[in-house]
Amino acid sequence: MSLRDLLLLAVVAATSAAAVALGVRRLHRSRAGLRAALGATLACIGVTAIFAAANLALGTLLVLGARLVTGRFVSIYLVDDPTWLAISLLQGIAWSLWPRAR
Amino acid sequence: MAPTPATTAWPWPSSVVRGRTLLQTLGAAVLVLLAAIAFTPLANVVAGWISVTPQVGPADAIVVLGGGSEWPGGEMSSTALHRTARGITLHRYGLAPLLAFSGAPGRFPPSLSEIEAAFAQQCGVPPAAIVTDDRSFTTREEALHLAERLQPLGVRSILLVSDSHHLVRARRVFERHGFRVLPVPANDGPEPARAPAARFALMNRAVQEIFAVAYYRLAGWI
Repeated sequence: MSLRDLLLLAVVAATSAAAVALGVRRLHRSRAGLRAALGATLACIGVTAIFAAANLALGTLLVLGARLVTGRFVSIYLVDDPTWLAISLLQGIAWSLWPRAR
Repeated sequence: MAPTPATTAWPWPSSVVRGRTLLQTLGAAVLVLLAAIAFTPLANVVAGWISVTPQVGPADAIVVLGGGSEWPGGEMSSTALHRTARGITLHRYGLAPLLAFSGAPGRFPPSLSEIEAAFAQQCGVPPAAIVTDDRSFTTREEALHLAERLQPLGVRSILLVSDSHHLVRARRVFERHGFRVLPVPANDGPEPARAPAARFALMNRAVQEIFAVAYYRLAGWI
């Protein structure tokens, strides 16, 4: 591991530990609640992965379809953009929070 | 309002529990994979699997494959510049009499192959030694069109210049079109990625090529 990796992990560990301490001691949140929140986070990541796979698959199919229909070259690298992941994350969060909305 | 898993008390329907468990398992697997890519040499290992061993030797022609695009002012992208420089270097070493550039027109004229040819001439490569082809948008088209241009000139063996990952597929396509191929990576093999962002970029490039090879195999092009 490089110094950059260690710095990143150390900073994330420190801020996470501080957030947990703040939540438990000052805001009186339960550790069981934290476990449930972490489980919900994992489920949200799972949904995000499904949205990401669906978005990329549909984007690829549209590009290949456009080539077939128009007979012109359309680059497959149009789907190569990290924005897809960010949008998939938003979709995953919205989907995960949907049942909790009143 | 109809009861939902968020508003009803335990026990939830078993299908909901199973679904949530599946999503949590998928999420945990994704998290582990992301951590492995970001903080371990996994990306470098995968990139190493799909790279080629350089083979440099005498050939009938040097073929520089199109990479990236040109910028509005006529400058080459860094990918194209790396490949062009490698091709010119090979020619200066006397490894082949012909230097062929492949690069389709982008949004801004002239085409990439013309820009590369002009650069090669500025570096001392004689115009008579340069062949350009600007009809190709894919690796398969490059092999097809360059075979049409070069094989009537007696070219059977080529030094093929591209990125290391791309050469895995490119080599097979050009061999399918009758060339004996000596692959020459423009970037001297996959650069070890030493930071999380670089590892993600490297893994992204590697996975793209894996899918591209699978697509070319399914299509019967390699």
